[in-house]
Amino acid sequence: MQRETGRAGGAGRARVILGASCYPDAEAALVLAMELARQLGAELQAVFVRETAVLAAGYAHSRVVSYSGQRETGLTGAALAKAFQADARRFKGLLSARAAAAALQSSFREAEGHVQEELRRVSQAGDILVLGFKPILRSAGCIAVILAEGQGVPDYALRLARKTGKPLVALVACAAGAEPPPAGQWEGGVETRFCALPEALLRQLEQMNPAAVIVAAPLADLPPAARLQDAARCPLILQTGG
Amino acid sequence: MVEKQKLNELEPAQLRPVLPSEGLNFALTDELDGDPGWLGQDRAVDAIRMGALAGHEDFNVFVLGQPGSGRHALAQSILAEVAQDRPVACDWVYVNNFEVPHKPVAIRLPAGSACRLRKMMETLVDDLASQIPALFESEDYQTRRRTIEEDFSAAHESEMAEVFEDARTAGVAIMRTPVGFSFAGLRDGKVLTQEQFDALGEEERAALEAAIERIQQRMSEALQAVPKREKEHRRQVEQLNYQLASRGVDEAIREVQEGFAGEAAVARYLEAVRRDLIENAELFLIGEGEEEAGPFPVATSKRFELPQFQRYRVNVMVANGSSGAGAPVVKEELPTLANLIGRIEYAAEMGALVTNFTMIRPGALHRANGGYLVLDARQVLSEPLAWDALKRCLRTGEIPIYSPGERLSLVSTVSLEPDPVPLSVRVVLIGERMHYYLLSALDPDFLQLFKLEADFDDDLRLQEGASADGYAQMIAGLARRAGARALDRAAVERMLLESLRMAGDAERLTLNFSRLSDLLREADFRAGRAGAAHIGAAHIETAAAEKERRAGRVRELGLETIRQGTVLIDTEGARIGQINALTVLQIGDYSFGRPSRLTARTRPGSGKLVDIERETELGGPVHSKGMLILQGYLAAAYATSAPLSLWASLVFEQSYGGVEGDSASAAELIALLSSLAEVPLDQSFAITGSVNQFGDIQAIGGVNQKIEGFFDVCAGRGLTGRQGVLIPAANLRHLNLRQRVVDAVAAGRFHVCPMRTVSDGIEVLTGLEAGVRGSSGLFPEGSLNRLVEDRLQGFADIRRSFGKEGGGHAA
Repeated sequence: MQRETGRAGGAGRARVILGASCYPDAEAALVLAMELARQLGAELQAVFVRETAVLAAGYAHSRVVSYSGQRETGLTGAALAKAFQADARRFKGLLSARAAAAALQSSFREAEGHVQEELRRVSQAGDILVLGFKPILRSAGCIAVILAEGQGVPDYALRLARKTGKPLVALVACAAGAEPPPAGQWEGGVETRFCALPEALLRQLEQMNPAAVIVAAPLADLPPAARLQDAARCPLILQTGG
Repeated sequence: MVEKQKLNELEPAQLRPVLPSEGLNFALTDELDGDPGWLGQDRAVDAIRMGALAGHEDFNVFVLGQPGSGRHALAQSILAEVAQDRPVACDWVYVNNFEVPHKPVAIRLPAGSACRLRKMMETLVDDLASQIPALFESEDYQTRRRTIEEDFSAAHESEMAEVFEDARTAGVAIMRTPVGFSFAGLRDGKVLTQEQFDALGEEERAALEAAIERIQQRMSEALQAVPKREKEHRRQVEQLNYQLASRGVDEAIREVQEGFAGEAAVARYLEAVRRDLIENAELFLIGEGEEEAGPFPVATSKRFELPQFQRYRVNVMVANGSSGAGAPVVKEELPTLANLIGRIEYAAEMGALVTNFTMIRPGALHRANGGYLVLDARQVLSEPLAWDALKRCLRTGEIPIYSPGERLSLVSTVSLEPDPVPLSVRVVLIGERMHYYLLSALDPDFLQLFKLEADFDDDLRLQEGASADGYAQMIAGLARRAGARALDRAAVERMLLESLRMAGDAERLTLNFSRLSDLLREADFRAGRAGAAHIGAAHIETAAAEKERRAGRVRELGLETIRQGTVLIDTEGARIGQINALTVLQIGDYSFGRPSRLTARTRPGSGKLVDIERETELGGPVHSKGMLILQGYLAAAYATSAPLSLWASLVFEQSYGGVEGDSASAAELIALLSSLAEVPLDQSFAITGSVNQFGDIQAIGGVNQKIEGFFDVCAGRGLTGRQGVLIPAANLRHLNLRQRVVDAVAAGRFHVCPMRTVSDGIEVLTGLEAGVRGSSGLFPEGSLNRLVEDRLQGFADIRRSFGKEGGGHAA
């Protein structure tokens, strides 16, 4: 397995853009985003996205399950809007404090729409996008990196895994229908699993309980980022082309 | 002028003790083995030996006697002798109480086992420090742990995946919001807005709502199951860790358990250690990064010294060894409370004082447990709370450890409460007689706890043969221990004389070995200066004289004031109502005699005898008693048919300090009689003696010093050949005069005369017969008593006539 070195950014300063639609997701992903920004010498930009779909679906407001599993009823649109505002403030405050402590350049803004769409909209080639997601289980197993066949593991992925003390598992996306090599191969301390797209890859992500998933392979060849994140249920790190 | 009378005086041979002719059969003390046993202390030896051998708990011993008599040496010698045949005392350790850490547990162990237990526990910790990390790093553990982790996460992820799959299939979007998961309809990958939802057909809306309800319920169940799953996961991990740790600990601790298989208390402790090691196995996983530190390989690192393993240490309080050395004999030189019962130490950490069971320190009672403890009474009584603690321990039979602050309830912070160690000890307390008598009188516990008194004799009766020989052996031993030269026979005889003088009795040798040793060592010094091969009588003589010279500054000043006439003392001529009394002064361990002028004046009166010393509160009670006795003698001996019509005053002239004792009462009486009879007293003599109401002369103290004191005054002015001292006949057994006096007596230049009654003194000092009352009821004409009685009768007549005249005038 080859390792690819080089900066993740293009012309101008590199950016790590962290997006989240709630404070728990933001908090869970901020550690990863800050580590990436530190490693790459990048600017950390945070975007809090109010999910307009949620706000528009008034009928869904009374159908909420808290992150601890309690069914909530009687939630109004106004209350939900206030909750979004509160989370945005907390996210901003957390970013400000942590970035200052780590001497990182950071910025914060709010947006409306859908997290993944918003991040894709503002990203440029070379940016690292971090889509926040708070894992439900406290102990997560590994850092997963999705690679195309023949692609090397990015340096920042190796460093991130070393920094978090998690093992790195490379998921090599093979073409659909192709016979994948036997799983569980090791090279350079990284376990490699070959997964036929898309089902095998999604099934792996569903079963792995990763702490984060890094998508290094071209997105065009993979299931949508939202689908990947639904399967992995953890922060998603996307590397835009460049 | 006093007529010269033939004196009933003592011969020179009577002025010094006669040493036994047999028993000193040697030329030099080198020939003697120097071990006479405990000379003259049979009573004390028997008491101490009984205390050492008796099994009763309260038969502790108080050794009483004068300092320097060998109390400490004798006590320790006997105890050491008895102790070596007694069993070795057991060991004691304090270990951690895992249930209640502030109450450390005391464990009794066979002698020699404490250090072994400590070492085995240290080895156990070191072994586990290597084994437990290895166990947790083993492939077996990693595999089993990974299985648990994977099973745990797989169950949850699988359930969540099914929920999301169900949602996708049912066309339900799961969205993340600040308040949790929200569920909405999904069409063509887009969330249905409210308007779109409302636009749905009734059936479709109902189906969508049902699907949303189902997904919501499933999500709720999946999320609510997480805590239970996590708990089960933790339980499985803990169980795995427990199993692994148990395996390692059981294997490692087996050796320690087998090593102390017969000790129930140790077995209980090791079981507690085992449980704690298993429950706290993670302690052995701390600090693994420090393995590379230092020049030594990991295997030799002393892991047991790390703070986290302190709980497994063994605090050895008493380790008596297994060499068969017998029971312990401990002498505590500084018996403070902490040194007796032990103490709990504290360390400063981050501004607070912390302690634990490893900081308990033993005291003398711990070290002597099972054996003997020797203490000095004065030191114990001087140290705050020490005596109280000692009694408490003896009474309760256990050793609690506490600080003075806790004892006085001044400290209320939580500290350690170690198990009290059961106590079985024999205490030998060494002190002076005053300590024993005061404790007996004032402390109700004392006689209950110290039932044996070992009373040291101060001196030894000098008998023919045995005791002199034994004493010579003792002197030889003293010389040997002091590293001094050997003594020749004459020197030993001279030492015997000095010993008799120290004892103040011609028939008793002192048993104050300290003073004898001092004299002997100084004599050795003198012999060395003289280049002598051994110590001779002259060296002893010189040493004794030099000691008196060193201490004699005040004495010489006194002689000088007398010589100069500043202090008036007559040593020749005669005077009415004036007599030379004799006093003894003591400074340190040196005493010396000095004459003192005593005068008496008389006149008619109402029978009052004025003791000026008492009137000015310079006279002590015994002195006052002597004066009252004298008054009784006068009242009964003279003019008994008339009231005593006498006014008299008596005083020690030029005496401005306190006066105590009745040894001058004979002098006072004779001075009074001289004044009454108007008969002068010979000033060539000095007199000492106590008189009773019948006129008998009783013994007094310091007779040698008193004689020598007056002799030195006379010799300083030049002996006239008439001078001398009158002493009680009862004091003849105490005479041990210096050579200078003996030589003067032998040359007829000084006289020492015994008195049995006051009449003996009267006859020497006045030259007149005292006189015995005849059948006529009168004393013989011209006798002193007749003169006294006539004068008293005259006083009575005067007083009567004054009484009549006073009554006539009134009429």
